[in-house]
Amino acid sequence: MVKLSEHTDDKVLWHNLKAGDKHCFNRIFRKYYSELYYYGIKIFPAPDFVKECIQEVFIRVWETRKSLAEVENVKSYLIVSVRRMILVQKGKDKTAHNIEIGQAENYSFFFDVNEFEKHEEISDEMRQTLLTAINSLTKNQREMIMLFFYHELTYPEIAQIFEISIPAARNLMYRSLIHLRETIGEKSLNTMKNMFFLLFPSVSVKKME
Amino acid sequence: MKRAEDISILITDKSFQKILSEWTGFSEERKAEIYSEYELTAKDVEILLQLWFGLDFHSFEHPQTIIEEVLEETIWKLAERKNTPSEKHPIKRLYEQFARIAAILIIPIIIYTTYIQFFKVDQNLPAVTSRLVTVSSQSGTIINMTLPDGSEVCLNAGSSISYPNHFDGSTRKVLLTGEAYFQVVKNKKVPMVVSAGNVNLKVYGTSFNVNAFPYEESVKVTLVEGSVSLSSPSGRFKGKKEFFIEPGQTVAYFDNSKKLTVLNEDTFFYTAWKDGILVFRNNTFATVLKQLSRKFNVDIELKDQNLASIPMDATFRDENINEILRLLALSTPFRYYYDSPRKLPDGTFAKSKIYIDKNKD
Repeated sequence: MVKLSEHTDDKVLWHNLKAGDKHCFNRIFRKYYSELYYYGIKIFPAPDFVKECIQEVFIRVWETRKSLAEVENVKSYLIVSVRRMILVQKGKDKTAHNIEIGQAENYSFFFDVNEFEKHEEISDEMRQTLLTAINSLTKNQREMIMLFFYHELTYPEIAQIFEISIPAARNLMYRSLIHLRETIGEKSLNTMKNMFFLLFPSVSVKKME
Repeated sequence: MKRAEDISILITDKSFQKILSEWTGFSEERKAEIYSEYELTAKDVEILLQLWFGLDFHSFEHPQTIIEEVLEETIWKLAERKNTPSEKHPIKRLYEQFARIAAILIIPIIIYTTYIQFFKVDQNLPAVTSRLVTVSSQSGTIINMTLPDGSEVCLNAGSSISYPNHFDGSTRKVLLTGEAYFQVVKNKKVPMVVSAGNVNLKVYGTSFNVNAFPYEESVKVTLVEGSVSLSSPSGRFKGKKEFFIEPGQTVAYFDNSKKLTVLNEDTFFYTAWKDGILVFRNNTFATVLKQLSRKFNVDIELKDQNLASIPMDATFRDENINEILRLLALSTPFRYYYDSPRKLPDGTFAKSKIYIDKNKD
């Protein structure tokens, strides 16, 4: 997970990039390309298009490096830039991509069970239930789950991306989590019942009647 | 710490996240401490653990080679962008401006050029693109010919006709000197315009005769059937530019006086020549001799000009020149004699010549 030094490392890299250090530009690119790509592909599932958008973000960073601000969180800055670039380019390229666009937008921020790690603490069945619950959230809620748990952004950073207030962002997050928690609670209660029925089928049938 | 609004919110808390990650390694005492600190039951922690581990995204990482490839491509794109610096932008803007103007102008240009193509050409008689064909008939021969549109023309002896090798545009232009009988193919959209002498005849499909020999003082047009309008650049007829000739009418236009006379005579009189018939009705002797000269390819010289204005009425069908002159001499006081044909240096004989003189008796 997050290393404490990461942000400070990034800040140094960013500072040197601004001063014209190509090496630092390359390092930032190597470090974040995969993560930005994964995020981009979740917004709009068109691999080449997403790749070009990320490249465009980095090209602009380099071209305008002298006027760039010092940033607190480089990753967050890049994520915001990529998100904006994809949305702008998608609007521009509507004619080129229009066949995909209608469908692709409907697939934004839907997840597959393979996108989550397997852990002893959670059963496969529960993972599947949780996934269904995540995918039943609104698009913004799903994106926020990803930004929070995968990209590990903070509420102020998330609020900036969605262009909403920090309390509003926090509130939206809470509602998602409560929904997920309730799903897990109900499911475990059901499994407990099922277990009970399995162990004492005769009793349970009578009780049910 | 106070119990949160909902236990699920705890997983957004960094320190509680740490607790969840390390939970399985905790001793029972440590676990009990946490239960009381966060006011949680074992069941709550069970749910939170599932939620926390359930939301652990599988980290996505491109292979190093692909990242390098994309980075290289990005640097390449950057270099390319530098080679086309921002100074080019004004030129690009200028080009866009130019393209916009060109787009606006293109439609008027197309309209103008099509106009030139289809309408301007017709204002000049010889079409620029097509070749002009001229057919002339020698004295003594009548030519039957067909124009490119299928119209038939009978060209009298000593006449010539010019027309484009193919008719295009909105009119069919034909230029005539001498006399011809036309049978024009009908085409309402493309009228035929026959220019003869100083007269233009507009025809849509009809049969008519035009007599426009340069030595005649008038151009005579005889309409057999259909409709023909006559116009002349300088002439006006009853205040109108065009004069519509009625079928069966013959019209004589005198260019000198710009006057038009309608002659109500049998059309046969004007069209008989095409069938080899010579018809004279109140023609002067001079005109008769000119027609004979043309038809029989002989030179005729009138020695006594007093005879020239004598009017004559006659019709000849298969007679030869000798018989005609003999018959005419019966009613008119003239005599005629031949000049013996001269042999030319190349072995051929010159046109025979006939002299007409006053009868001495």
